[in-house]
Amino acid sequence: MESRKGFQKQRISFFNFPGGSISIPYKDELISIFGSEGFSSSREDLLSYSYDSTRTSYLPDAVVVPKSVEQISQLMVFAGKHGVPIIPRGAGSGCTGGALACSGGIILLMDRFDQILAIDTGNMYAVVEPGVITARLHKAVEKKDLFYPPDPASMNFSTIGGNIAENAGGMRAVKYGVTRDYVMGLEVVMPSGQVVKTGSKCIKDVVGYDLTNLFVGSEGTLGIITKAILKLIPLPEARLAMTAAFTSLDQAAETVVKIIQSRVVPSTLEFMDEHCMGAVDKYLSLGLAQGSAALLFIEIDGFESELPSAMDKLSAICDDNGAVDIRVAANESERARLWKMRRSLSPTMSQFPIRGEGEDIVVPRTRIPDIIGKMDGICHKYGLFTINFGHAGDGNIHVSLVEKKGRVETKMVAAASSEILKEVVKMEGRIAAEHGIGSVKMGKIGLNIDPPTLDLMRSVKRTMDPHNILNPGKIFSFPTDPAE
Amino acid sequence: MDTVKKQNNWTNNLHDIAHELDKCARCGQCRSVCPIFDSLGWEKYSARGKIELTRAVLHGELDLTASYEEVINNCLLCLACVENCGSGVRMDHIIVAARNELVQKKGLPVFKRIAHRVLLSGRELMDVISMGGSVVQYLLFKRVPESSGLKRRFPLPMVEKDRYIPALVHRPFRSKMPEINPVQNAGQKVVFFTGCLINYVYPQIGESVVSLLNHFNTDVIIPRHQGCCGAPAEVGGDFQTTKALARNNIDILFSYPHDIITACASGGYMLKKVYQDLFDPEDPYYQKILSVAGRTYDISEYLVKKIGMAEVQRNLKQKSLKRVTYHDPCHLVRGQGIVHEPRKLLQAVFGDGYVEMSDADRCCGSGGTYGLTHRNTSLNILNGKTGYIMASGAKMVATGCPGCMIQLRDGLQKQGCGVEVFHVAELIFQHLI
Repeated sequence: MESRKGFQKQRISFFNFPGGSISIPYKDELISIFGSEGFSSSREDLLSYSYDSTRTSYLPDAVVVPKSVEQISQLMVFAGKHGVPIIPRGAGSGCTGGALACSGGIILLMDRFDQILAIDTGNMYAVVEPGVITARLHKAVEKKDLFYPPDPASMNFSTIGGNIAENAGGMRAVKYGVTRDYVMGLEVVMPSGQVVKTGSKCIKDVVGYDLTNLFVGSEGTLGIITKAILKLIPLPEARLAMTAAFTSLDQAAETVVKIIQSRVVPSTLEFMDEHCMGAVDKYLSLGLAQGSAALLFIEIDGFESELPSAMDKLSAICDDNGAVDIRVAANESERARLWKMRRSLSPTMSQFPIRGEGEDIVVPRTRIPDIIGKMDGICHKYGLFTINFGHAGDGNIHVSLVEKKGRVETKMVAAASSEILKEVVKMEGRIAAEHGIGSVKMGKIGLNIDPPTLDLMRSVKRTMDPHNILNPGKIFSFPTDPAE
Repeated sequence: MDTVKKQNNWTNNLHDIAHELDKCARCGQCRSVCPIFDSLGWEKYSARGKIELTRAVLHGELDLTASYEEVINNCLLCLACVENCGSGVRMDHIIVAARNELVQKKGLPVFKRIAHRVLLSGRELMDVISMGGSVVQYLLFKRVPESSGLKRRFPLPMVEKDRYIPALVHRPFRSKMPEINPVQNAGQKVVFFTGCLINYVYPQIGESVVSLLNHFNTDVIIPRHQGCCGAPAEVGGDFQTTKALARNNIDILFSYPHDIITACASGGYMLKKVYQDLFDPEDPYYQKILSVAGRTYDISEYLVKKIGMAEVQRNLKQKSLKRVTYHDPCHLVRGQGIVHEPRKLLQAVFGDGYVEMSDADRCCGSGGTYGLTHRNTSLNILNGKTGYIMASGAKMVATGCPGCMIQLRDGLQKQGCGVEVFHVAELIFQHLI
């Protein structure tokens, strides 16, 4: 294991040849499938496909770039024959190691498989290839007054394929749901090389098992998505955004509950604590309310005529719950600035000496004040504090652990993290909301999934990928993982 | 962090840039804005990929391979990733440090070594080369009357058939112009830092700047011995040459108490931002550099902020009806934060004829010498840009960088669309009463 400052780097060559380079016969076979321009095993390319947004990285053995579904089928046959791991990869922006070659193998680059094949305004669906950048799809459908709601913070660079594989959420989930709610059908290359088609372009469809939903969130372990039929809805006529600052985190969390109970469902209801406010302020100089402990970022959408009264109602709720500073974006550029602020939150976290990988927990949303209280208590015990931001409206919080002062042993950080997750489970929450399990949270899956259910998942995997060639070492351990 | 003593950001050593590398959260945001990555598709060309490779070199996981060198040299320094990085990674500092490491370990390529030596030699040699070149160029190239540019006469290496080559002028701008260009009843004096492209290729920009400023009762001093701003050496990682050039310019500019005008985006960026990164705060030059940086203005910035829009407007003819658009040079929009000033000026002249193209602030692919060393990628990026220009419906495109002008003229002539390219200063000057 090669280790580097701040990052773990591991090298488990599947092929295990001296010097770590892929052997000639394998190379020739791959080049015969992808052509020399669609194959690389240069050190520079292996390094630059060794990481994602986590702090871990693994060198793959080779990288291939498909141009056709046929080539992907051939790759599956090649992989099955030799037992080589295949790791599909979009933009490599994942937060749990889903696109990492944890057991070596071949990175299958899907980011240049990037055509929007159709946008049907009458039936309100789009057909896309998996490499399409999510924000590009947004722009394309919004030109036609249609709307594809899922908007993970990474939407400017993450791909639809990655969004589907991780079942990505986003800021609009509180009103519109997550990626799963917009996938109507898929074309998938199976580990056998066969191409299957799930779902359809019809709103109602009860023909056979719902395989579409099996692939959504499967993290590249069951098949390679090569095409997706995505549901679209009408684009809301107008949007209004506001922020409300509070002097305590509790007040902000209580306000979220009150807003939901008021039956005004914002399209976005985000919160961030004082550390996050400071971090984005440093980057964007927004002058976020000094001295406040939490900020809610709220957006509503709908018919233009309805919005002002809804906004008044929300402002009143914030006011009643002790908001010290309420600002409504006066125009589109102010609104854009607020969004830039929210979207840059995750990367600005690199300003902090964060320990471990961040948590991506979700609880039933009325429990948010409870879980924040519990986390405070747990962290205090370990000499840590939490940095929290997230999608308060849907109960999903991104938590990072930071030392108060003085070094806290890695073991202790892990212990704190485990205690937090146990509290989440007690509150009927989930240990992963929208970032997936990947390789990073694999050891924790048992907290949410009981043994019989896990067994069923394993048998599904075994049936669909008998040689365990697709993204091994992800979600749950598997007896034939090459790494084991 | 603000209390930490300012460090010299330009380093001679990759170890000194390690903190910058460690800032990267590897989120992938840079992939969505990098023109090179967009053009080539391989992760190693994105800022995130380059950081990973540089980190690997630093930690001994990768040698200074030819392939690594190619990746590090394949950057326009357009600053798009810097502007969009949530972690605040100064990719420009990383690239220049990595190039410097390469220069130290592997040396400069011969042609760059010679070129940098010429830049250092000062005005006389460059003037002679330019004069010689202005004669010899017609043996190889023929004039294209409509553009005052050149096209090749017969096949030449690196010069495709329809490539637009700007002609060198026989008499450089600074030799032709008096050192002091006074007006009667002058209200103020300014110093004009011309840059090489205005001096040797597009003197008409310089003439427009001087006439414009004179029109607004401003004396214009053009110091004879100002030299190259050093940008070509700086982006190549040749700090020695850059610092020597910087010292010369700072000595000259500091000796005048007046505001300094630039009409070259990169020249202004060097004076305002880059020079101060080159020297330690303890260096005797550092305070002089801050003084110079504090009173340097791009011509559009000077007109809007110092002369005032009302005054400019009073001196303009009736609004022109032509359609015009504006291309943001990287070193103006991101380098100097100049976004609104040129647009305000163009709107004053062209009113509703001013149209905004999409992705106006996207790099044109010129990147100083990048267009010479990476011809195909540069052309690929340029094609995107000319596409946006043509889609805007404009008949003219204005910009604030002579380097961009060469690139845009090349691209637009290839398209045969008849869109003309001007410096903002030229257009404002043409429309004065």
